[in-house]
Amino acid sequence: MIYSDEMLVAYVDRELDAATTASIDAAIARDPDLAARVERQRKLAQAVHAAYEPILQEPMPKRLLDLATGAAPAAARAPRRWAWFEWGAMAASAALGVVIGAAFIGEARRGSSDFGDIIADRGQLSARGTLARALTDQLASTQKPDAAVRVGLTFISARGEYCRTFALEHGSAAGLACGAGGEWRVELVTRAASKSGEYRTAAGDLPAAVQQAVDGQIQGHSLDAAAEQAAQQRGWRR
Amino acid sequence: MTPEEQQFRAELVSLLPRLRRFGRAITRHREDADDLVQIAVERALLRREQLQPGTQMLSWMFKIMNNAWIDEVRSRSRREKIFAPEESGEHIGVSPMDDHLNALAVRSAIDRLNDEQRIAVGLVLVEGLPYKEAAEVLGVPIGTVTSRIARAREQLQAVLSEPAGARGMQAAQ
Repeated sequence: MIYSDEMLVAYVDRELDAATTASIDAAIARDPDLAARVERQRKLAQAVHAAYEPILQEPMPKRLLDLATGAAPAAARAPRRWAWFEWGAMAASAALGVVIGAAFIGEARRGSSDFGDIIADRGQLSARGTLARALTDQLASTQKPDAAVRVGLTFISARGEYCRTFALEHGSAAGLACGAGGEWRVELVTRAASKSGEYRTAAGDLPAAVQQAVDGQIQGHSLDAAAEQAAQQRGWRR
Repeated sequence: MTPEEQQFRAELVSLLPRLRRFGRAITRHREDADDLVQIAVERALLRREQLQPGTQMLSWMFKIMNNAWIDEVRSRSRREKIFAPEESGEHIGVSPMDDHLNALAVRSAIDRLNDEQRIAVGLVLVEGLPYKEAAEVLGVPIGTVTSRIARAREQLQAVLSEPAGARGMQAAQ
């Protein structure tokens, strides 16, 4: 008997009745080619399932949790969130770059770090000086509490790059930088209102705009201390 | 909050990870998927009384998501605007390298299926629904699901056997 692909697929998906299933079982035992076709279908089903499985382990966005539990009233509509390319477009805007760059540098100077930690470079904002060194060298687990720049979360972005959140001394500003090989592109920098004056690394303490950028970009979980150190030792190359 | 509502919400919360996963298969985009889940949860909360006793809440939610995708989210999908083959890297999940490459290859192959086939794959292969339940979610005869799944698998096998996809499909060959 010749089995159509449709039938074999239904067999693999356990959709056939017992009699038909038994007859295919028997045919597979006799026919290696048929067995190989079935195996191909089975492998595909497993690969598809495995490809989406990690999504179940991702951190649940707060907005969904709040909505489902009733912790927050339903919004009239899903909020318009910044997609990655929009942040990119914002960073590429020279005018905006100068404004946020100046604000940031002003804070940085008061915090007695190097001048010009963020520069507008070929249409994007790049980390330099103290900020770049901190992003490249510092580990969240070992950095000094009074470091001029404190790194927070480290994670792998949707683009497959390393991204790290950072905060300036005294929690004056915070942001997100991504890149590879120690070249850090500043995706976002914002003033961080901090009650205690101290910026903490827990995700819950990130300024909303930074948290939103992280939520939008993070794939899987943030790196733990061991993974962060391993990534640093590889020079932030993947 | 009434005890019924509490129970309804608790069940909804327990389903959220799977709703997000199905949303990712439908929309091919993380943010769109979460927007879709949000809209579906909002609608579910408004129509709580319409869930018949004995009906699977999961299938009901998938149905709401499918409808919301068709009549609302698809038209403003970010995915359509920014899609480019080299951006398929956005689907990379954090996992050991081989799995990582496999997942990338498989997801980008699924992304390239047409809407009908991709949603059928999402229900049957990703979420593991029986054809009958998938047919109920989609409001089509079971034979339609069977043929969509068969055609989708044919295309996936073809795409994933290509030399470019070969590296990522070691485990699936």
